[in-house]
Amino acid sequence: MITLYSKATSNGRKASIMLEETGLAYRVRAMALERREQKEPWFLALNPNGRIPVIVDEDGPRGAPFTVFESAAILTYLAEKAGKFLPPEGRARAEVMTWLTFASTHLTFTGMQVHWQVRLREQGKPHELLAVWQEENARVYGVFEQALADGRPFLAGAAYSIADIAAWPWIHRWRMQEIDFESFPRTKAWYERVGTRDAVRRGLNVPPRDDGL
Amino acid sequence: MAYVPDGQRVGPMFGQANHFRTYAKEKITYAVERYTNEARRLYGVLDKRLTDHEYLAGDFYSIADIATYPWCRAPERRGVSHDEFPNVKRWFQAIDARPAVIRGNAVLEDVPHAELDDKAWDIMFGKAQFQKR
Repeated sequence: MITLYSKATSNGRKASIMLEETGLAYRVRAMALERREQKEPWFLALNPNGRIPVIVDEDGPRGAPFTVFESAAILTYLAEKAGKFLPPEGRARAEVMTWLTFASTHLTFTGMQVHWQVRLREQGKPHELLAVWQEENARVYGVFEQALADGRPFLAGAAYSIADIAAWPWIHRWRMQEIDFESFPRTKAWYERVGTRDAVRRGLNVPPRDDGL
Repeated sequence: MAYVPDGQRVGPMFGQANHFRTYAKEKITYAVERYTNEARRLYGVLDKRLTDHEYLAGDFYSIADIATYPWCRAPERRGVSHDEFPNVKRWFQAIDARPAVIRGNAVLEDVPHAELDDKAWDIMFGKAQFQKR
């Protein structure tokens, strides 16, 4: 059994969607980020960085419990455990790792900066970096748009992979990011294609959130 | 594996700290503070991990160390001293002395940094960086 420590945020959803996609047995421990539960000593013992998501696999390598933090590491670990969504070797694997890394760094980092600035604006505070990060975010969407230009249905090519799972939850917040989605038609089509998957719909709401985001 | 993406956090955050401390034309106090504090927090995470592990992923040198090491050079650029983080310092010095690292650091070192005039600044940090490429 795997325990997922998470909240249904863009990073948390990478792990919950992956668990739903693989069909591995798991339970959820919802984290109260508003109470900074992720900074409590018991949680820092799982992830010294104090961030969600984290998984603890009771049946880890050699049968011993194993803790994994950082969403990209969780996706890779679960893909290898389930034998799904990450080719075992060669060029196809390198393609997935490339786009997994791009989604985990440029898209995720930029998305976090946009969301931070939007929250400052909502609170009536100075948010002078909002335009800079929105511009960078649009550039990142442009990179996806270019990658999809050869007609590939998924980010790393013909097959759905952990690269798609890493990118999708951040693109899911395109409205909050004030992205002009019509300017990125291939990315929009990819977003809709991935979004119709049952496991993605289920994983979006783990642990359940009631504000419809 | 968990520590390779740690390099993925270190890069962007340290990069922002460098930018707002050194390159930004306007000093935005909040941005300088936020990114400097976050860089310092990440140094703390690395230092804690390295208290009882020789390298980031455990007792062996790995791509996690290779991803993180270059961002730990010139810490003063992000307002941090390695003296505050003794385990990072020990780890950094061990990697810094590896022959392959010394050779890797020398790659492209002879290419001079262009002077950062207004045009170069714009290409690196201004509007031009957002142009489709």
